[in-house]
Amino acid sequence: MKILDFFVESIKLRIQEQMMYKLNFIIMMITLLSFNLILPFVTILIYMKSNGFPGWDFNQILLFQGVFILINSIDLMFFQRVDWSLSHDVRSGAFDRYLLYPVNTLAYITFTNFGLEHIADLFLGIGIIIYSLIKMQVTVTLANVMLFLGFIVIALFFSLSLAVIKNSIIIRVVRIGRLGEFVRTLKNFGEYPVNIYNSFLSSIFRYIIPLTLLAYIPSMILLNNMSEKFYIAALVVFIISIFAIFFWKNTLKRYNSAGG
Amino acid sequence: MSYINKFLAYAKMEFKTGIAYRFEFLASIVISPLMLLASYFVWQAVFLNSGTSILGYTFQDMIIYYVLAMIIGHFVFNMVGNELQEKILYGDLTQDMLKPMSVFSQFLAKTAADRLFALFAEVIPVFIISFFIFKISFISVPATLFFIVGLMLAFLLNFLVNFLMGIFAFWISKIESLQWLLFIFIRFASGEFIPLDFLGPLFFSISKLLPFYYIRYGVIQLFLGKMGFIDSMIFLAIQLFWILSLYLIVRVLLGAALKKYGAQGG
Repeated sequence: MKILDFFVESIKLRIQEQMMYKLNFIIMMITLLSFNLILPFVTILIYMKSNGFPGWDFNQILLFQGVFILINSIDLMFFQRVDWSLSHDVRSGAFDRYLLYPVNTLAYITFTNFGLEHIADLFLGIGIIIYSLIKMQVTVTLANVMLFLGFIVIALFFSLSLAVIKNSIIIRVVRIGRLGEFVRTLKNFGEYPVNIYNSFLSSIFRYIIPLTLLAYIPSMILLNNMSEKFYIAALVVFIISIFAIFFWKNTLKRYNSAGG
Repeated sequence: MSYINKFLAYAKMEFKTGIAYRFEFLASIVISPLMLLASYFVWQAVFLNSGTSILGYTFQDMIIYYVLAMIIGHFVFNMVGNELQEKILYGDLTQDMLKPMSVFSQFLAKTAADRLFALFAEVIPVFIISFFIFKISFISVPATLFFIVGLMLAFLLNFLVNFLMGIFAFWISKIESLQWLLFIFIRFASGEFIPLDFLGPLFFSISKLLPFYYIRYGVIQLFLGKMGFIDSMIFLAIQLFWILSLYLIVRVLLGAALKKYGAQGG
């Protein structure tokens, strides 16, 4: 079965599953939306009671939060739910069966854990971006939109790579504890403009673990502040992606040869 | 065997379970300071851009606020609502009802033992690390003592709030998502993410009427020495009032719920 067909079928199945408990699904959607809205809401409260972050006015920071919510929602929908079940599947032996399925194992665990509940976050992120752009009366050119979308794709590749590395570690170590929480905590640094950090952390978030892709770079593009240095982050993601693929393949190889 | 002995025996058993998960607790030593580091830079930037005081908080106050919010969070944390719901859903509660201690006491003993373990594996290490990294200072001995008493009462209060949420699973079977929603609301309304003063005078006044204020925000104010002796005593009295009120509600509802559960052959 082609990966795309499998993707569509998996999502259909997930939607059918969720619709069995409609009320529970709706409340879960509101719950997750509320949770993901907390930090943007806190930022808004900070701006209401102070001058906020240097170099970022209220509408700009609103745009920034909108971009983060948009990218984060797609990340949560596709890549972040896997660790909830993967550790259990490896322990119970269910993961061994996945290796026998006629579909790419990574695609299987990713698509079957699709989190439809985050769809509301996605629309909210888009809504906030449009609202803030209108409020700022920023002229957005087609080239900027294309560049913005391009960097969103790169940001998602970055998130996917982190998820693949995390999933590989789960398969290797089995009992992984709070690795997922650690990665989420790390990503939270990307939820604020990079200029608030000291030069050491700022350099790390720009060029080594490019958390700036999760909101800063796409926001700067929409604000017509494109810099050629942003491409360095894209290059870093390319390297991380290659490492993630290698690590994943090596993990499966070790798992198989260990009689898993 | 007296009630206290039974309680301690049950708690001891749960404490040993905690040891099996010690690495999960110890992960907080890495994760918590990382979370605090983000808050540190956020507020540093805000204070540099806004002056030395925001709503009466200095930068140092704000950092202490977030450190304490996290430490209190570790100390009062429990998932009794979800655990009770699962026991009801899967029928495990029947076994608990046969044990020589009430269901409520079993949950309390388990949670107390769990948090006692967290005190050594999570709360104290995170506090020591924060103490050196973020230079936390104690305001005064009375403020610290009030804080410790307030923290103990906050644990009981949070336990009762969560247990109460779990009881509703006797009547509504699929309430997991509702519990998560309430869980997030409690965290927010207790001031975990931002001091409640930032919500404005109206919402701040409303928050004081709810028990969540007394789980975290108020306890932090005790440590910061923002309440005088009398106000601190009043605060502890209100905490006790909420604990007793919620305990009575829990007793009444749990009695009715267990009767219903037993009648259905649960």
